[in-house]
Amino acid sequence: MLAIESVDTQLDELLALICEELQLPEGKHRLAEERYRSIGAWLCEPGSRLAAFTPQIYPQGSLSIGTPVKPWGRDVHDLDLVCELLLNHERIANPLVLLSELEARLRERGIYTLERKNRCIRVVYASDFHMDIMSAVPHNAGTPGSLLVPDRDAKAWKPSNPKGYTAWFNGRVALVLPVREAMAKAIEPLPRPQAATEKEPLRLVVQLIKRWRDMTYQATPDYAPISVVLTTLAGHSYSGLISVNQALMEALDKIVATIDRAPGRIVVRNPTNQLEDFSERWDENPKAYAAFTAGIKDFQKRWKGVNALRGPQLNKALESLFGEKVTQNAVLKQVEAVSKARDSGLLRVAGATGLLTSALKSRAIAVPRNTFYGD
Amino acid sequence: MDLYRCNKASWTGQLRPASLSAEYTVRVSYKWEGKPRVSVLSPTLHAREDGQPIPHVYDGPELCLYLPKAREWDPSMQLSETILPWTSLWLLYYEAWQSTGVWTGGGVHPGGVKIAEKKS
Repeated sequence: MLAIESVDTQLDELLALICEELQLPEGKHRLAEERYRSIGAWLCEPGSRLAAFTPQIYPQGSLSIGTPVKPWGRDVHDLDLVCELLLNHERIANPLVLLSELEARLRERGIYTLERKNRCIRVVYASDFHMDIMSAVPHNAGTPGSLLVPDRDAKAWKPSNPKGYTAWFNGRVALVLPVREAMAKAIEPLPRPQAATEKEPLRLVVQLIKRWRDMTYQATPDYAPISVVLTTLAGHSYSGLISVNQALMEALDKIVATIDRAPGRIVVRNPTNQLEDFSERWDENPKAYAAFTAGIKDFQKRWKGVNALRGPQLNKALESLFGEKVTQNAVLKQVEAVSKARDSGLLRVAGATGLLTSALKSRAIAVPRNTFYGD
Repeated sequence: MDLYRCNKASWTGQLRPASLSAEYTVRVSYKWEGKPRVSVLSPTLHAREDGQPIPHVYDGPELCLYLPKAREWDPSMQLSETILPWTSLWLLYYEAWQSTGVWTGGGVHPGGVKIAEKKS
């Protein structure tokens, strides 16, 4: 069956192909992995000043939950890592010493360009991406995976739980599994391999929302809602739907409903560490919150609109939400599947409606070879 | 009785090549032993905003669905098994071309200039 044979499968495939355009390409992903391992080894190896504290290195953020979105405009993609040290925070008078020790170790290698960020040291590479390394210690009083993170602005420890968050998000993603398994049992496997739709719907929803955010707040980056807030809102709203289109509509509807119900601003906490308020920046920046609520309500309206459109108008609407190039590339990829069927002599058309198909249905007519002509 | 009219037939119907496509009203007119002429009544076909003209049409515009020299079509064939499926296919590529500026359905221009076909 071709994806174009039903509205749901065609739109879902188009969205998955758009997300494929947003990923880090294969080559960059391998480069990221190399750099990650290299830095990790430098921090952990026996000669390191951190070695005595049994450092654990692990990713956090979009790469660890499979929702990377390629940079837009000036922003260079950043990869987030944690360097967790086995230390008792009560024995540390000044939390910021964790950052200075991390920085010192990185400087010792002599090859890194470093920047100090509020909660991490940024390793700046000449191209492609930065690595933001967050230093932390376990917070034993908290839920499993809880950390205390030195925060320069606060000059104090701040709570976090990246491992817990990753586990929570993956748990939400997995809500689709029962439906997938049921469908896999109900449908005989096709002879050809599956296409772009391998990725679970919730991950695609997050990628699309982040991309919308990048497009919408280009001119006003200070008002752009941060990724972890959007990811958490999407994670909470997800109910296991197998269609990425419907899951996106569900997410937008639920987020807007939450905004309308809230007495003040909505509060988005780390689901695995209630002490961590991901959305705390809205307290100092009410204009950003207003820009977020207006934006997400507009997105909701536009997404409803997308579902009512057909033909090139639909593609134009997707372009305005997610970008011209990625949408157009996705459209071309989708048509390519039809061209493949055509070239293989497998293309058919349903007589009554002209719908192109590859299935051997009773009223489907084979499409004979032809060459378009004319100017 | 008008012999001319007796030998002429036309079919008008709706085609939607892909589920997300628009629905096109198409007319095929056919004179006995003549060539079938295919036109899109609605929505109106138009050039791209960047000025690119519609590919693979004759004046009209009428759709150019086959290569006359290659005998891909001849009057012995059923229109419903040739012209109509090719029209659907043409509309699919037309929509993608409207959105992207790229025609990936292959084809040839008069004078034998072959358009680079999309690799399969």
